[in-house]
Amino acid sequence: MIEIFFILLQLFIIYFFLSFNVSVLNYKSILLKNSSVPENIAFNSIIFLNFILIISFLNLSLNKIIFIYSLYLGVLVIFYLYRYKNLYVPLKDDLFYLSALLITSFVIFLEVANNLVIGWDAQKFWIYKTLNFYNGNTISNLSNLQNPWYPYLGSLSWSFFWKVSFIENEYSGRLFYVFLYLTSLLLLIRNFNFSKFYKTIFYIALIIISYDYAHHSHWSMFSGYQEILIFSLVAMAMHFLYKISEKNKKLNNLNILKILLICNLLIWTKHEGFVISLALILTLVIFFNFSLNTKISIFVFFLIIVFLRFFIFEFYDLNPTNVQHAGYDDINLFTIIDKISLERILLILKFLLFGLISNYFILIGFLALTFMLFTNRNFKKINYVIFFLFFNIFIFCGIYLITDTDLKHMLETGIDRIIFQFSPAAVLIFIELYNLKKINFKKFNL
Amino acid sequence: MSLTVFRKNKSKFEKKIKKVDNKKFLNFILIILIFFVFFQEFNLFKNTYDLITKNYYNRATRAYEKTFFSGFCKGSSHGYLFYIKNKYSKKFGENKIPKIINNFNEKKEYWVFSNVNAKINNQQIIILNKIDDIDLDKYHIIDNNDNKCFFIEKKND
Repeated sequence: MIEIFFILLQLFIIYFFLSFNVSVLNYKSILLKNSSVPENIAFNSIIFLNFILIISFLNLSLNKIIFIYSLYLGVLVIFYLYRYKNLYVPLKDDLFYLSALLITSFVIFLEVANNLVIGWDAQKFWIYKTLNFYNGNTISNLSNLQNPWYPYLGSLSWSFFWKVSFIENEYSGRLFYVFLYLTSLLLLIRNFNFSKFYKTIFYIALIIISYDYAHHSHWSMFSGYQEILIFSLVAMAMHFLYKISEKNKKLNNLNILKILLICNLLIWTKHEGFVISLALILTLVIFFNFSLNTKISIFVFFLIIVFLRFFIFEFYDLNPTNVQHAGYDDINLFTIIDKISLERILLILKFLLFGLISNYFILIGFLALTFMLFTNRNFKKINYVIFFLFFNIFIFCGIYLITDTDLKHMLETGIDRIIFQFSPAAVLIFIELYNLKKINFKKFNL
Repeated sequence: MSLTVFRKNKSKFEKKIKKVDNKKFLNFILIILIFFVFFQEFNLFKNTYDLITKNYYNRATRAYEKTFFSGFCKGSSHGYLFYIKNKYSKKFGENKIPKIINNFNEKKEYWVFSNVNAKINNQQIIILNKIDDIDLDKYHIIDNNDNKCFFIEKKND
């Protein structure tokens, strides 16, 4: 019973750490007045993850990182106490979002606490990095562990919430992944223009269809795998892209900044983050009507992020063998050309098709797209989502094509997880379809 | 007096109830049902029961029995490692963990001991999936599971 109490306490600890918005420091800020609960938590999570990541570059131990973040939080709390009444206007739906988030989080927290398997890759790559921070070491010590060339942000956040928990066991840190995942789903749901009743149904349905065990595995997506972080961050990025597409220029710059910060997090979470963040940047630059200066700034910011990633890895010698990813040891122009064959392409296409149709988010997007096609809807509004999805599919297929290891095994064990990571984008097609004013959904009584 | 007040309140309540139309009631029932589906999907009641009745080590041991690569004393044998950690961690010594020999797939899950700074103590060995080439006469057997998994300690000569 005491463990259940501590799990509940952990829920409030995570919520506390992610509920104070930095924009309280700005007297002119309109962000607090316009943010709903999921938007607020999503923004704070992006800030939180960037904050602990940047602090970790200073080679500080986890205790010091927690101390510095607590100081920052303390400052925000003081500002909140002084300015709360002036700044915060409770939105009509806040209670709904908050209770939905807390109830679903608690239920899935119990599932994680009882289903304690750490997945295969998580045991190989991520848990040792988590223990590195939890045991008081800094990033420089990561080079002494196995697979140091893998990014560490997910492990850092895992160890952070393990350390601040009353639960002694590692799973307490993984509960943060659940919280982030549910927040990102609520954020997507928030974009639908329908009643709370349908939002609840959609929210629960999206959880159930996305909380799917990979078809080759026997553990859940919260078993320490980093895919769930990428999924959540992509879902958040999709929300901000959707906000920009609404042509409400008031918060455009802020939404662009949020997407850029998400790109930084993606790069530090998994190697796939490079491709997905590049897809986000290209989507922003190609499909949105920003000034040339803004577009150049976006590119420059992205280049700085990528440079910083490689610089920190070089600085702390986190890549002594110069291997960027397991299974890609022999990469030069001639070997790449040698690896390309019709047989390999067909094998990739077969697994790709199987992966796409076994992902429910992609299926929802595909059905929405088909509906739009048959009803002659204008595709212009969703071009950016289609580009984002196709860019990811195309690049990841290319990456599979040039692997040195057993291609079939890699596809069998990996392609569903790759698709899962960028699948939130497909839900955006459905949101765009539903919210198109020309479609009269009233006849369906929604 | 109190009876009249009660009747008055009762009729007010009944009127309010009638105001709630069928559609709203149906929506409410649907929300409850969808939450039940959600609770069922995530095994809420079973998880609650397990969390109350089983400790962390028992739950972890049981969880790995469902995987293809592990079990209690099978494959990576996480169950046995959790069992040894839970039962004998005081024997390990300051900042030390036993050496793991896994004859199944050579995977050594040292992370179970939650300490990457600990030194591996060659005097204490956890043997998983034992094969015949280990001479156990040189060791004290601290724990033996089915002659397959052992926790042993080197005898002092």
